[in-house]
Amino acid sequence: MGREVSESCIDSLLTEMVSTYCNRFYANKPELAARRIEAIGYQVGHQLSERYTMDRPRFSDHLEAIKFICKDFWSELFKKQIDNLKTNHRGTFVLQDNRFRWLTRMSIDQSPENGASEDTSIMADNKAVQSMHLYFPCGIIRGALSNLGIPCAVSADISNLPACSFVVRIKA
Amino acid sequence: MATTACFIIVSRNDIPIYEAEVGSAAKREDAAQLHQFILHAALDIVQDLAWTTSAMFLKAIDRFNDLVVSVYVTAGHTRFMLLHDSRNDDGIKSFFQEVHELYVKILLNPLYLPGSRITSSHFDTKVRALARKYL
Amino acid sequence: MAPAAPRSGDAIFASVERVNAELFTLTYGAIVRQLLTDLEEVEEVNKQLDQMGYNIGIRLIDEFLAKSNVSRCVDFKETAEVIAKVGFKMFLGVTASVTNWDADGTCCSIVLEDNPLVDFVELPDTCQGLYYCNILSGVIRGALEMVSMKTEVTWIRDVLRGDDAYELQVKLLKQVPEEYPYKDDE
Repeated sequence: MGREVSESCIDSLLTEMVSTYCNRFYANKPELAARRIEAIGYQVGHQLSERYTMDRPRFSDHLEAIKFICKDFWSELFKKQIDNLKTNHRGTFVLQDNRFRWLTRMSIDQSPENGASEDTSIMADNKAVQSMHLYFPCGIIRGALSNLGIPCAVSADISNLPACSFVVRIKA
Repeated sequence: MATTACFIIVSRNDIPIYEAEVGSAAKREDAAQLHQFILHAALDIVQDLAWTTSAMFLKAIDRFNDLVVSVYVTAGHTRFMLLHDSRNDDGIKSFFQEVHELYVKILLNPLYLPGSRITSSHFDTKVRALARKYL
Repeated sequence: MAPAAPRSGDAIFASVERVNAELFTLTYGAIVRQLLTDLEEVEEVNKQLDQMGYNIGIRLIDEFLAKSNVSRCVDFKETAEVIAKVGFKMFLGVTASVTNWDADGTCCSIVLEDNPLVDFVELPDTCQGLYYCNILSGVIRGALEMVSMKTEVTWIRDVLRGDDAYELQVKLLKQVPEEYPYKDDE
């Protein structure tokens, strides 16, 4: 396999990107910040899906493409596969990662130094920061699937931390 | 080497983003136009065919006199189309595969807008070299 | 001279968690592209990349000191060597070299021949004034400020602009002796 960099590089970069868009550029417009962060992810997903499909046959249906995201694509990005894939067979897919790397790394960074000061506002703050971070992987998934000819909307659900579920809704 | 070989790349939105006459025959403006016209006309056939197979390389999907159209469709539905008079399928396949690698490198340039014209002279030089090698 | 022999950058890099460099490279590239779209002015993009790097640098220094066993660099000369030999290696997996020292040892160049930030990048004509890797200069400036060295970091050579290597000039402006780094409130 190819070149590697330290994980701190990508973590620092993502943290700084989120902070740049949320705190500096669009401090009062979280929805605009979210859209930019998602767009950055979209470009990355779009590029990588073309890259990682080079040596395989084209997908003949949606399920095949989604499975590719869960297995090969996720492994390239996180060195593990998606743990659980569910579908309602009507165009909605739920991809669950039981320990989503970017969240577990982040919650360590963000934890307050002494547990006592951990009040609800910090918790709420953390949640807000986390959901901002998640626009990036959501964008990656949407970009990858769009490139494969599957227009969709992607959202993230973190009600079961450290698990994270990505909900893919394919546009008819 | 093929005397006639016209190569184009068509984006998923049916817009040509790269063209090159790569055959050994003397370049003539009107011939180049005719070649591109034939390739564009074959797009519909590719469209229908691409959904029936998962293969990337679709050989000889269309004909025009002694010229043949072969196509390579990527996972992102970018199409590489070649109008040629040679019958060297293995060479054509290798040509497409190596152009695919070059194309992915273009696509990975963060400042390249997907679906926009490929203007890199490096890419052009490499594609012409591959044509000389394989076609 | 050296307070505690710094572990080699190679050993640290081998021991840290690593990720696919393509993901990092493309993420950085997508950020640059988004900044170009949002800010329009290339000059402004250069400034923001530097600012982002600075913010990263002031946070990254702790990890760097902890993992490298470098407790404190005595002089600027040694510091520059540590950045080049240990710092670049442990984060980006590449080594840099230090050259072009001036007579009084306050200005030098860090030269990179290999740079994962620019894999696949070709600058289009519309981006001619862009310092694509400007985040790096910010990181160095930010990190050095946390160990009490005020510096000015500028690009001398840039492969994307047609040079044969990446060369960053690091100029020491002021060294504040023994001042504790600020606690983290921006």
